[in-house]
Amino acid sequence: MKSLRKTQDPAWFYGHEPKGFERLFIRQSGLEEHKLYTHMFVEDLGHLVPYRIGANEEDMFALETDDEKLSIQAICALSDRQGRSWVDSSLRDFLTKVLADLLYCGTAYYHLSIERAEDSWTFGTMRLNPDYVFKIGTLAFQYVPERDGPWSTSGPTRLQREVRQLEGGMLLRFRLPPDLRKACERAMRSTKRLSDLAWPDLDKFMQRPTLEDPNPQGGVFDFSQFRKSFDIALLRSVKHTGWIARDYSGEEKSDFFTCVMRLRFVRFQIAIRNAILHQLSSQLTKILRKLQSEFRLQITTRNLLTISDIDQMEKGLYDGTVSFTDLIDRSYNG
Amino acid sequence: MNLLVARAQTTKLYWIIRRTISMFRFRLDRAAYAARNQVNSAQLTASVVYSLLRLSMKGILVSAGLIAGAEFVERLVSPVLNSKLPAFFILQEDAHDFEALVSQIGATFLGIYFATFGIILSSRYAAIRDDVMDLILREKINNIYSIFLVNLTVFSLLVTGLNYLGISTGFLVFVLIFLGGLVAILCLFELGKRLFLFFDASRLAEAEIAPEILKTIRNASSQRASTIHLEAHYQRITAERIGTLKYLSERIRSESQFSSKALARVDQVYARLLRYYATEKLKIPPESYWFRRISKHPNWFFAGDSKTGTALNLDMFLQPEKEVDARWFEKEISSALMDSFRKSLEAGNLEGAIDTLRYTQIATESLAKVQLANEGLAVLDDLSLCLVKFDVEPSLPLGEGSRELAMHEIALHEGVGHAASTFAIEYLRSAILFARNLDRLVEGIIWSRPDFTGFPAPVFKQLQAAKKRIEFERAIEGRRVTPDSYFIQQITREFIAVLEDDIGRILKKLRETTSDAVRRHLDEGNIRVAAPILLISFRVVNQVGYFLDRLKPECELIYKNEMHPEYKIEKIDFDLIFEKLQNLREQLVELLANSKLLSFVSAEIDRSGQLPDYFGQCYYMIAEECFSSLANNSPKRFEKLFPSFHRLGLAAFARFDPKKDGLSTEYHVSLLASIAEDVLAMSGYAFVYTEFHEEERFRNFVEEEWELVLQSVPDKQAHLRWLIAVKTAFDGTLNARPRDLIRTNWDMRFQNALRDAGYGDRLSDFRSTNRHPSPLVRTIGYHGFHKPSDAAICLLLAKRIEGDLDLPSGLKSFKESFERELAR
Repeated sequence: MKSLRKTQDPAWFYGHEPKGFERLFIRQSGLEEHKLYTHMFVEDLGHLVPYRIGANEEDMFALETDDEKLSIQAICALSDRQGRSWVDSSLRDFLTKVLADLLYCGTAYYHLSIERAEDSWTFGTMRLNPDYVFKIGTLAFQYVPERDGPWSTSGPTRLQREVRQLEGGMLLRFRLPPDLRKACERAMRSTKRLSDLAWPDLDKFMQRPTLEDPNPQGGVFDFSQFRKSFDIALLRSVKHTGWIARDYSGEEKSDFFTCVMRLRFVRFQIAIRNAILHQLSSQLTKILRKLQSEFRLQITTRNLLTISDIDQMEKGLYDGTVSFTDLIDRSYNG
Repeated sequence: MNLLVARAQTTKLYWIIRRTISMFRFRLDRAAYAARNQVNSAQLTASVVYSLLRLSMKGILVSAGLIAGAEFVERLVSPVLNSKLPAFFILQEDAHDFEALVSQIGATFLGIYFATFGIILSSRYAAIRDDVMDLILREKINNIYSIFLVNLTVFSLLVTGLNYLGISTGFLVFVLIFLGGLVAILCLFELGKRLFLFFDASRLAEAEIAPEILKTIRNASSQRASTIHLEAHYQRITAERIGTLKYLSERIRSESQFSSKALARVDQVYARLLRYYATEKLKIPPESYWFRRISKHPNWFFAGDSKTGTALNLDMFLQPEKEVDARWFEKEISSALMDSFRKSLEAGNLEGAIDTLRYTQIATESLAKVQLANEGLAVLDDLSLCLVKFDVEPSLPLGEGSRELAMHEIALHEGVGHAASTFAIEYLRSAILFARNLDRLVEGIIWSRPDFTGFPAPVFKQLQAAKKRIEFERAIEGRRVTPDSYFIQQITREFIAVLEDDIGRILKKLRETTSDAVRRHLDEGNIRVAAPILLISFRVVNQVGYFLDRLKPECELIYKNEMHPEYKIEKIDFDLIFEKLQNLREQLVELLANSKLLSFVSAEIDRSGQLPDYFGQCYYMIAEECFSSLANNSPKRFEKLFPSFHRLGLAAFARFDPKKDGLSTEYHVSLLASIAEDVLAMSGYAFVYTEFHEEERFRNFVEEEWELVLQSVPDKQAHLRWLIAVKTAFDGTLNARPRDLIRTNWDMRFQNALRDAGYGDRLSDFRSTNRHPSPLVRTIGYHGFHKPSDAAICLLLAKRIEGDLDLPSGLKSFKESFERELAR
């Protein structure tokens, strides 16, 4: 293993499987695994900002800042883009990726690099695999496993594993508030477990053909009973988030119940979105104050649903003044 | 917890344990069911014993009275005779003989009883099905009696044997045997009579099978200790018993001289069962195994990913789905009734078919009461199909004088129409009641209650769905989420939607059984049947219209309730419904003017009063409709109706025979005068309304029609003069003629029309009102003593009379008045 060294070149390790002693300190969060219900849950929850077509596509975020140019540069760098018109889509992609890390690993890390180029600044970001990042107090380290290096005439070179000390001041770290984290962890845990159970090996329930009975009929497995139990287990385990598993068990639910759950889910999304944006604003302000001492940045949403909107919709739902269709449409279109 | 259950369900052990538990549960259920049956049978036994005791008590009391009387007399007489009756020890000596006697009597009775039973079985139920034999053998009351008799005989025999062995029995045994002997003798007569009822298989259906089916229906609906096994058991038992009922019907029918009444009794059992079931069905959950399951292979594209995924994994076809057959009971009963109906028709037993029809009508009425429209209409469809398929007309030997057969035939066709109309009216009536009580019922709902008694069928389905959703919400959230009001709104919307759909289908059915049926019979030449159906149809349409009128405001009240935008009620288009009903009535009116029908009713003269007076009814109805066409300015309709009315009028002149009808000459002339007045008044009104509505077609058509009629009369001049003479025969007298009141009503309607049009009526102040410009309208409208018939004679007939015509004073007066009005 190479010695510990400071670096400004962290890397995202995809597809690496910890081996041997690595398993002792590297947690396998299952970021790369594709469990059916977990995947659906992450995908659905990941729509923190709706996709809009046409005139309404932009102008979803408001930047309260002293230096708009610098803020836009920093935000666009989060997804390797440039220009004011990319702020919304950059933030949308950023939120989705951060949320995926938060759901799978509990923490999300982004490394920001700033370089001076004549009169301006150049920003670069790197998303870090949270499983390989360790934080001790203000110090942050990244474990870099053994990997392929540059090609030489005799084939690919092999690089040794190393531990890098990350530049702590340029690291963006995101964590959800405890209540949201708890709900997410529970939902992720249950959906992972239920995804494994969703397709039981039905072969073992079926009677095997024998010489005496070459075409056995029937079996002890009751599919409808299993499906009912499964649906209830799934919906109960994710009820705090309001997710209804894409409404597969539609007949069992009343329209009102579907709307209540939908509002709960949107409220949950808004809470997560606000938490991430708040953390992003404060951390970017802190970093960019190194460049401008009076710098201030506050990212807020505009023309998007807020908690008060959800409260209002919920009141309308209970009062019977909002139609279900309008409510669902609005909840999807933000 | 739920996660654990889902986890456990992926192991084979879970399903094996589940099956084992299910099996044990089934056995427990079976044992509990058997125990309940034993308790029930014990209760029944106790009640039968009580009945037997009560039965015998009368005889015992009479005997005791006699003994007491004898004792009393003996006490009175003994001092005179100065002697005493033998002491008890004397009785003890003779008691043995008496006990032996009772045992002999018991044995003899048993022999008689079983011999009779055997004779009945062998003569009546030879080669009988096992289930019926089982029913006879299980016949409760006779069974208990035979057991009692056997026990008494054995007891007496034992006592006698003991006495012979030297073991003397006491006084109490003697008394028991004595009383037992009395009961056995007294009961034999009553029970023996009952045994003879087995000669009639329908009694068996009434007394044994029907109560058993009713009991299983009650069990299925009570949901007490309800499990899948029990529900399926009740269904199987009921299906078997219905099969037995069908078998008994067949059995009765197969006899060479069977009684229609016996068959009717079985049909009555069917009707009773369906009537009871219609209300009980609503308490049974839709997923209950009481409802028969039908296997249905699903479509791969509609089956859903879960099922297709499973099937793909296992490389097998999609497992058939068990679809609930919610109408199996109704189908069974309706098929049994239809079978009975069809076979009666095939055998020419119209009386039996009419009986069946009556009970089918009761059955459909019961279905309508709970708004089971699908089920009711299906039965009615079967009925119509049956009648069309086995049309009685060609197969029946309907010769001259076979009036009874004709009446049966008419009753049969009328009955089918009547069943449809009763169904429609009962359905609408129950819908009105429910709509009126909707709020009250909904407020009283307790969602945790297992049954929703009192709700009509369409709403009941929604209630069941709501219940399921509430259970789901409770499973997820641990509490209810959806408020009652949303379910109520959904239910109300569904009720209105189903109501509109059902009303549409009911109206369609009514059209089939009224106008379509009449048209079909007219095309087939079966006018004898067409006439009564047509004349009854008017009443049906009227009644349905009345109930629809009542339903409309109730629905309007429901619309006023504040509704969530999502559950906004689509209002029932009552205008369209009334238009359909009006169209139906117009079709009937059109059929009323059918020449074949009128020829038939004119030719058919029934003075016995056995059949309704079709001619009179046609005459009266066409007259009214004809006048309505004039008043409503419908020349097209008038052109269809007036020729029919005119011909009926001419037929009416020749229809009455003073001798055969028992009419005095004066009344006969008065009748003819009234008919002439009708025909001429209608023609006169046609002239008047021509001026009033400014519609020349009325006048032209009447002129043409009279021309045609007069051409067909052999002596045109004589006919015209006769007509005028008859019409004016009673002019100027105060005697009321038949139909005078109706014609006065026509006059009133014309007066109303004048007043509504702003011209004032006969009683208006002419100086202040605007008078009608037409001289003829003024002459008829404002002069009370001039009649439209006068106008018809003066303006229509007078010009067709050749030679001098000495007009009576009334007509002269009209002419003068008309000329005065012309001059103004």
